[in-house]
Amino acid sequence: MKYQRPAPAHIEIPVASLGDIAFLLITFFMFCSTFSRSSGGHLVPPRAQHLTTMQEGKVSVDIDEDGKIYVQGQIVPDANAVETSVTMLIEGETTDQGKTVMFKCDKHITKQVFEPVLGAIAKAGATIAALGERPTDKQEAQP
Amino acid sequence: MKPPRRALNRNPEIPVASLVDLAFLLNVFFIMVTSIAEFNGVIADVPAAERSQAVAEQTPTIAIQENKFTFNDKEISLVDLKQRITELDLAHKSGEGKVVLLEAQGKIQYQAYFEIMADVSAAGGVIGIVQEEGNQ
Repeated sequence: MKYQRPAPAHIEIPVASLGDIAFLLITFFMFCSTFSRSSGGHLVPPRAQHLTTMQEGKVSVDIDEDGKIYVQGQIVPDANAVETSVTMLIEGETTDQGKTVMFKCDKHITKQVFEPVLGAIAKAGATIAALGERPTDKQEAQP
Repeated sequence: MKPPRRALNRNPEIPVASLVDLAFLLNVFFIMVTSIAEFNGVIADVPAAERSQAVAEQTPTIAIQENKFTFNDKEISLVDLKQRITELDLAHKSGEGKVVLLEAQGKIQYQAYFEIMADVSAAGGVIGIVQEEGNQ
């Protein structure tokens, strides 16, 4: 007696919905991501023990290790330009968050450079959020 | 002779298998380049001129010089300064009472300035930045 082997079943995994999931994930990442507005310049942030975690502000002002000043990642010549730029950027903002300027400065920069910039931000009517880093356990152990 | 009739495809489907690969590649890209940013720092406030005139007398003032700290014009060590900031009990004060004026003198670097700002902020105070006349 002859047994006939059944023809192999044509099995297909439905992957159409997988594409939907993937695109949903992409959409999620695109909405949640914000491009960094930091400067291209290199800076070593100052360290302190007691820092609070805060939300990102709309405007960023940076001073790199060479003392170059950046507003929203664009280099500006001096503190007066910072005041003008920040005034324009926070114009119309009514919330504290909208008026907060994220200020990052290299830890070796002297007062002659950072103080006029802090003054300019304040003159523009913004709140200064001075950013730094908490020392890691390894750095704390060092004398 | 008649040409053979093309078999009718009764189940037309757009092949989307490669589209999924593409989508997941994009996902991998976003996952790799995304970093969850955490912003740590302190909030500083520069008092308006009128306010600084009115409250300057009774507001605690810290001056930072190179390797030297003064609290209300009296020289003090860094450890004692931190102690004095804690003793001010700024967290339980309100309004102008929370303000501690911070003045940088000489060629002070931002690291020392920032440390004091962080200490005042951690004690519940609000930092008022004092600028020299020539710097404004």
